[in-house]
Amino acid sequence: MISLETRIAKSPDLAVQDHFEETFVLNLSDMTVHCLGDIESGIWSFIDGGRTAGSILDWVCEEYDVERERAKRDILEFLTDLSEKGLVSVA
Amino acid sequence: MEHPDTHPPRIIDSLIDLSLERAVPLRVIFEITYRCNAACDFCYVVPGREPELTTDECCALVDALKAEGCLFLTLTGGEPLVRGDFFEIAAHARAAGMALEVKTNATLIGREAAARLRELSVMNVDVSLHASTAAAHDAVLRVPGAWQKALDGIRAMKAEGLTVTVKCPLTRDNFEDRDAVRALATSLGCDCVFDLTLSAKQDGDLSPHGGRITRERLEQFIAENEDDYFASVISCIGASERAELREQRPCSAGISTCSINPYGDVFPCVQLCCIIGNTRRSPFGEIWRDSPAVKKLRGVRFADLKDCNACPNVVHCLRCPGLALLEDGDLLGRSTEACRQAEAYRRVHEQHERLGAVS
Repeated sequence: MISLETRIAKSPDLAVQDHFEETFVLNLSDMTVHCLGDIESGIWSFIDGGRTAGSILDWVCEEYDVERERAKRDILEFLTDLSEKGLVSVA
Repeated sequence: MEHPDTHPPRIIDSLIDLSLERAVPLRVIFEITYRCNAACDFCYVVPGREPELTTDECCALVDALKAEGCLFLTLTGGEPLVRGDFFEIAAHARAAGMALEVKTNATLIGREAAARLRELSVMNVDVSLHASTAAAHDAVLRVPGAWQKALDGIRAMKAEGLTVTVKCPLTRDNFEDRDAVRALATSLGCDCVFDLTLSAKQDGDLSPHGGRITRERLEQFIAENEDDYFASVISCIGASERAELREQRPCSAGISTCSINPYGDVFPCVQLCCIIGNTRRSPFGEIWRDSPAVKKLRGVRFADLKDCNACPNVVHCLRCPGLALLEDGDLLGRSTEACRQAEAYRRVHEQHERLGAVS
């Protein structure tokens, strides 16, 4: 289960196209394609393997001026979804 | 066969549509060398005399392609693994976030190379196989032992869990061997795709045409494999949808795809031998955005194809503008080979309809 202390890293077996407003992520291990919207793309670009879910939350709240508790639920849910799809690894 | 519209839209289709709409080179074929350790008679490649792009130039080009939106990069040749820096270029492309495909004769792929391909998460490796027997395959490549090396290479890649597709150009010489080639591919754990079109060489030399299968054999093959090929999808298009074809682009060359040769020449696609720029003289992004030739190409619609949009075989046609230009001299005119194949598809399709009506 992902908490604010969990470090998030992108999986190695990915190909990414972020030329458009959305980010398209191709998981090469199962050949699934995923589309990340605006804020999701921003979060994706912020994931660097060293940052925790908590630091991602801090960044989102500052960048998008959103209410923290709501953002926390959404981000943890989003990161969990990414993990279940094999797009990120957690530690 | 189900009509494609019954399937829900896939995310990849959205990406393809965006790339077509905004002219983003989503898929690029990079011919990193024209050198090859084989000498197939019908090979379309005509090597140049200039020096090939250096490792640094190749990597810089990969970065430029990434900046313009390339996601799928195919490394091919010649034989791409002849280049000593193949894995350096491939690793650079993967580090840039691209998805890789490789086209090879597999004779230079042993366990170590297969492991490195696996580490790079190569999506698919296309391996050229021309026959089910060593004697016949080696005779095509003019390299004794090539067939066995290819099979060893395929097995090494399959042992690493890679997806390998056997690609077999169908010719007069191997037509009777096709079932055995397919069975061999299946036994190796590979899909098998037959290429029906032997193209002229890049300089317009038509000698490869001597190896093309006859019309009768073309129809026979299509009848045996109709469900597997694209034309059976396009045949589902009804009369009202044919009218919409006129406003559509005939293909994605120079719009969402391009190819680059070992000397930095950029083409709308590997078959369309019309240079739109050279990366040693201009940045790729500039070529892609500003080349007059590519801008003209992007304006072409089905309605501009002089003889095609009124042709009764249009819904069975896999017309390639590159082939039309190379072999018939007119980008917007008839492609003799496309006409020949479309006629074959139509005859087979009508025969199936008649049989279906009878049953």
